[in-house]
Amino acid sequence: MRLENIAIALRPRTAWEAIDLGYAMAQTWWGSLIKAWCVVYLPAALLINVLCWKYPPLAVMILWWLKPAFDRVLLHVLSGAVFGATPNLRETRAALKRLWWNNGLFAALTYARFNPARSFTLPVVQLEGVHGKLGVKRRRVLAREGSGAAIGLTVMSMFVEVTIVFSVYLLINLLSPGEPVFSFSWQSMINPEKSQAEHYLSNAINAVMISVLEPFYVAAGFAIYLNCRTAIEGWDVELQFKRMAARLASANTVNASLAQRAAAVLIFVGGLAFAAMPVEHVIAQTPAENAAANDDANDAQTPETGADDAAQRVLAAKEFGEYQKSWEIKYVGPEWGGEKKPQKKYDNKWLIAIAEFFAKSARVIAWIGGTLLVLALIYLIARHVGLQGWRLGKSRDAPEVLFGLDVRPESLPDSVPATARNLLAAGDTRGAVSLLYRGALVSLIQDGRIDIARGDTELELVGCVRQTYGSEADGDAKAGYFAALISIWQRVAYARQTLQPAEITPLIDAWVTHFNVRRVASAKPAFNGAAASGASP
Amino acid sequence: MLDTIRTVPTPEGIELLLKVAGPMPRARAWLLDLLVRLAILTVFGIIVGIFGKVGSGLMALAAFVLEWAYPVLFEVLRNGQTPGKRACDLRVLHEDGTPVQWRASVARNLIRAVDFLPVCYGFGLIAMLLNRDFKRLGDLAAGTIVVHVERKRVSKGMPIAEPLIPNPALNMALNLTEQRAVIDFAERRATWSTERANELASHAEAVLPAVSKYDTTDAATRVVRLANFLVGRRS
Repeated sequence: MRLENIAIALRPRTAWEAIDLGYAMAQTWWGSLIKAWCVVYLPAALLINVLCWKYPPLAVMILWWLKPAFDRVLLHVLSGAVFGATPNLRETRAALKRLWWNNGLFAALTYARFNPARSFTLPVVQLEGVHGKLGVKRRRVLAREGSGAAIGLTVMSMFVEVTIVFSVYLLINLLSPGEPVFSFSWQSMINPEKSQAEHYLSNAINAVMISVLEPFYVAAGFAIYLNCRTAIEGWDVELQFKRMAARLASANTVNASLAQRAAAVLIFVGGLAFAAMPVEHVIAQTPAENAAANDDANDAQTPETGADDAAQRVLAAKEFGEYQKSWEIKYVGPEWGGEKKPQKKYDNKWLIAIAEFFAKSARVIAWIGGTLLVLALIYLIARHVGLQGWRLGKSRDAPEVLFGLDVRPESLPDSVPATARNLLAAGDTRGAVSLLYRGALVSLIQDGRIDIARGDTELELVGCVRQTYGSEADGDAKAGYFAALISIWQRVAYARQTLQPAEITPLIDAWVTHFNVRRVASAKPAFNGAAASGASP
Repeated sequence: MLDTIRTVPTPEGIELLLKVAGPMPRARAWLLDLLVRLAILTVFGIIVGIFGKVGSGLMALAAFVLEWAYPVLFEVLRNGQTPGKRACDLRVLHEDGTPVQWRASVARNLIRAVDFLPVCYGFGLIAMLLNRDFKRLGDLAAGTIVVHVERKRVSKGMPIAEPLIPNPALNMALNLTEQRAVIDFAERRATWSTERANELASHAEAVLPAVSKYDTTDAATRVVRLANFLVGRRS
């Protein structure tokens, strides 16, 4: 194993990302994987199916049990491919003995068969060749990183396998005319007399689907393993450092002392065993056992089946299973005449009444609560989705005070410009500007096209005016006037500057062209100059 | 280099890296979502049972809404993540890396019905195994992609050490990948044994300045110091 030859990108991944990488690996090297798999698996599947010809479900079970043996072939091809030397068929065949013999296969097919992290521990056993106590220790170190995902992988792969196989059954059933090909009854799985053809077909489907899925499972487990070692041993850093050293060495006169690390050795210890496979065992026993089992089943079932058949025949006759729909009009109201109602048995009527009362009120409350809940939900969703301008209830009332100014129409004099001019003449610059400003605000509020909130600042207001009136003929002039007014107002009220009357007169003159205050209240309160409101903005 | 990353170039000249998610993490997220929906339906059923026949009507409506609207609403309004996807750090995006919008989300979740055929996502799985981006039919039709998102890394950061200037004899600077590798080494230094760390650091010996024979600090420590220099610490 030379890290420099690795064909996958090394980087720290989560274990689930590693599984995805495994799937990508299986996709990439699909050709080599499926070839090697078919060379080993198909003959074995054929052989076992032939030997179990009397009891086909057994063949599926044996093949399933032997999966770890076949997985080793896939891992052999995959590990070669990942490190840049995909073995061809001849090499794979030559490696078979090494893969199966004295290499932990016996354990894998017996007590370790149900190890849920099987795909993840396989590389430890097969590629590192560590067995026994050392192997347990080694696996424990690696398992800290990846066994959770590996177990998840095995469980979900199992479901996926079942799903896919049933998908194909169902698809065939859906697409075949007439009687369904596969009956999904438990009996059909067990009873060998049901239909041999069906069994063989389902075995074939099983074999094909397992062939499709197994490479992905093995590759995903291998990827989790690689990911663990990348994290634990810093493979990605090692690779980058080596590349860096090579680049610097080639470009520099510096004598870089490249300490070549001895690559981790893939130990494939030869040997002999493969336990001649429990298959032989099965071969020796199966026919006899099967025959006995079949006889038993037949004895037990014959009489019942006969009656069943007869019953089925009768039920299939025309007279049965025919549905007729008829309707008539019938009076269902209270009885005519004075027929007596049946006497009620209960004498604890009051209890029932109370219970009914509670039940009824609970129902009413639930209805009300449910309605409120639905309304609240609609409101919340509307708010969340952000339907703008969507509000509960009526629009807001016009504000009465803005920026500390009294903006009720009643607080204004009859003619704003005239009064302002008078104030200016009297030397009250501040009062005059304040009046113009308040007048403009009232006019805007009355116009109702700007939604002025209590917390808006003056500049926001200018922006609003520009946005709202900008598209109109005199809109720009209006906005410009308003902006000028506000800046004057800020100089007077906030900066406390003393302005020349000449600066204010044009504003007073132009006021009427832009603003207009409608009188609402007939009773006009006494106007007292800029009012206390203007004094404290 | 085989990887599950897809790059999407943006007009700004930036490459977005999308880590596509395959069938297994997605099945896991789907299972979690299924549990969430069953829980909601159960609670809703208990409450709505009070209303009798209206209640069973409501129940049917709720089941319908949960089946069709649940994924769409969550995907569009919640950052491309249903609760299950969120728990598994997955996210739905358009193929170009932009957040998924109504049209694509509705499309991919309607075609879910086809993916589900014949039983429990048979077609969807086959489709995912057949393309490199692990797209099910709905993703193919809607132009969406499911990616892993990085959870906020809880990294202790690199150990602080006196910064070390790279070997002055080098007549070229470290490029970005190499700098990143050095920093990566420092951040992950604590996860390796001293022997392994020194072994790794020995490959970077060329970058380190020559040591006087009295300097006894090991290579790993010096690489960590170099990393400190690279991230901008100055003595």
